[in-house]
Amino acid sequence: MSKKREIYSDEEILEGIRTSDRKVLEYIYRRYFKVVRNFVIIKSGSEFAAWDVFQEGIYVLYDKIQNSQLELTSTFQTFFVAICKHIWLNQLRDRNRGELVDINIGELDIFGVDENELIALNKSNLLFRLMHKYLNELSPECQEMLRLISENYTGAEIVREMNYGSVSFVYNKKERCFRKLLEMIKNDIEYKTNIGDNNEKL
Amino acid sequence: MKNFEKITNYLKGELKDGDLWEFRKSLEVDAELAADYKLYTQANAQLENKNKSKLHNTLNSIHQDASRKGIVRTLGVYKLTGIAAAIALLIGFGTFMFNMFGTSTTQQMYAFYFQPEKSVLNVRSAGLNMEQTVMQGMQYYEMNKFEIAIAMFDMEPSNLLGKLYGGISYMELNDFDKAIDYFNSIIQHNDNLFIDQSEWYLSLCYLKTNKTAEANKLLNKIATERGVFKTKAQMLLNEMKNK
Repeated sequence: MSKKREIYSDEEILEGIRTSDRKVLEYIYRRYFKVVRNFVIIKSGSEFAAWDVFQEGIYVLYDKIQNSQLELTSTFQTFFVAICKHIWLNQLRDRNRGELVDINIGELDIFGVDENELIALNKSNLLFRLMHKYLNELSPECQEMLRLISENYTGAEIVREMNYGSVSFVYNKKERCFRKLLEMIKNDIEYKTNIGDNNEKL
Repeated sequence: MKNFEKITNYLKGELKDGDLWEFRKSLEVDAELAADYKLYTQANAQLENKNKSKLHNTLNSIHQDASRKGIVRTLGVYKLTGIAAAIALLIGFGTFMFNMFGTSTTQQMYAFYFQPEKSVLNVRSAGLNMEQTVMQGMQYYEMNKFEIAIAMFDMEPSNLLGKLYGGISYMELNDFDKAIDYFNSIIQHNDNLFIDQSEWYLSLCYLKTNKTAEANKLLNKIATERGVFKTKAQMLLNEMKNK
């Protein structure tokens, strides 16, 4: 017989997203990534685009859970898949490729979530995703520096951790790394299309 | 980013009097500065959101693990494809041996008994009420485009007909673990028209993956019931005994 797998309730899934519980996230991935991927691929997308959409769907839920705004009025599966479909259709629409696929976002029920709020969350999460994408392209030293800062290390602690000469060197270095990161994001085609050049969209 | 220093100095509180006033005024009229400012502050806030970064890192680690397994599986398929021609030749020889000595390996028995289901488009066209995506999946199944067929069937995860043909498609692709999951989900549903077929194909999956005990148990069940696969199950059980 095939191996028995754990099953989580909708409440456990939301709690697992809130706490980044690996087992719960694996469960969500196993059950729903394929559904999202198939939808994106059928609607003119790629495997990579599907993975981005899946991540953004999870981040939307995470943001809403953090803001205590998430009350499921349907099953988790229905809600999550609808959010992901919505994200992808919005991206398609923004890329002006609507004529290639059948896009009718209005008919896609997102279960009481305000569409404008969802679009704002998507854009904020796009920035989050791009930031992590380009963090990985910085030098290992910059990556480590920004990681320590994100974990609230003080300047003096970073001096010790990375064997630098002074705290002022840390701040200068941080600025150079952060500037490089912002420049890479700013030059990204997805950023330019969805966020940049028109700050009203952000 | 040409506004980087200006924004940094502003946020550090290092702009005084005239410079500070000028910066605030520029924020209202200079669209590029305003966009840079938003990017700067939002990226900084995201960078410091370590809980969300943990979520990001965990998700990516899961995806990478799954992708690596996917690559291994793909290589496995190529390897199998590479030896498929040899197996095809051996099957001819094996059938000869099978007829001669009356015994066979489980792999040969599988090859002998696995006859993929015909598409329902051929056999039940009249009055068939199928969801559009399942119907499209069935068309791809007919064309032996099993991967696309599965993608279409998966669009309607609660459609058990799609599930059945998805399972058979996975058998065609030699992905028996997935096929087993699909058939089990139909059997566990317990109230549908496809349990007979699912049990039969599931038993063949067990046979193919050398799970002989499970295959035996399931075939015995099929052989004692009144389903359409009763006779085949009895024949297969006899062969397994003589092996």
